Amino acid sequence: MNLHKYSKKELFEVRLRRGMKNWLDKKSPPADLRAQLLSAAAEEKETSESLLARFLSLPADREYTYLSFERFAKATAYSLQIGVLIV
Amino acid sequence: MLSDRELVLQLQDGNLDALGELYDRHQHIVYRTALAIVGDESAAGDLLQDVFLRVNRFAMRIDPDRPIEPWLYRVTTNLTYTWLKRRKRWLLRPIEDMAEWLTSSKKNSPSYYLERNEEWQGVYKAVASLALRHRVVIVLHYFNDLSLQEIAEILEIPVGTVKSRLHYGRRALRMYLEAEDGTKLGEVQYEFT
Repeated sequence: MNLHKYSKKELFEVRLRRGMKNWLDKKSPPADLRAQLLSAAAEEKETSESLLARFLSLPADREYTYLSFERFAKATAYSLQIGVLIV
Repeated sequence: MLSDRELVLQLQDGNLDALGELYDRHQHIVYRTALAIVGDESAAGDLLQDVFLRVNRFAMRIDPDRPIEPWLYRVTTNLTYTWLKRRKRWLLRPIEDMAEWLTSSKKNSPSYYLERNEEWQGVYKAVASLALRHRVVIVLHYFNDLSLQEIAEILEIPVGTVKSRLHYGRRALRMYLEAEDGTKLGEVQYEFT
């Protein structure tokens, strides 16, 4: 690259741009990172699907839902103390 | 070959092969941007993985009709900010990197080596010396070739702030490089606003 045609400002910018590209263009991520990423992404997907399935299955547990509702319905009074529910 | 749009749509349908393809296309730009900001190859690798895990996790939030690069830059810069704030460090490994450079790159001539080594090493250290807010703007502008408007959109700051950070970043770099060179490059005037 012929640097003689550049002004001082341009020369500085060319040096900066070229220096950064010379430095960074030789750098590459580790080769095994792709496999690690896909494995971690699959694991995350599996975990979130399993949590979602567990969450969705909760209302289907009739006994649990019924008991919870019963307990709530039997609650006769709320304490005046904030955050305390008398059941 | 599928477009990024088609890959994002596939990823939104849960296809992890699409994530692999997006990674293959954009890994270098994400890795090198992260590396330029944090200066640590191991951290840049971790950040690269984090960025693409977020691509997968938040795939539904990505608009397939818009280019994915600005989204990747935003996540990358946000994660590097977080990483640097947590670690509060800026590691330099000039000797290790020089050894790697000398053994891995194409051999032309000793003078070629000397000239290029001095050049990138000087810039490497100079960028590392910048304040984080200046460093990010300098990297996005000079390495990623992004315009002021694009940087403003990625960092979600006004264009005037980008200009200001670029101005102070360049000034600090010039001072650093001049001190390193032991010579005055001459007064360089930049428009500030």
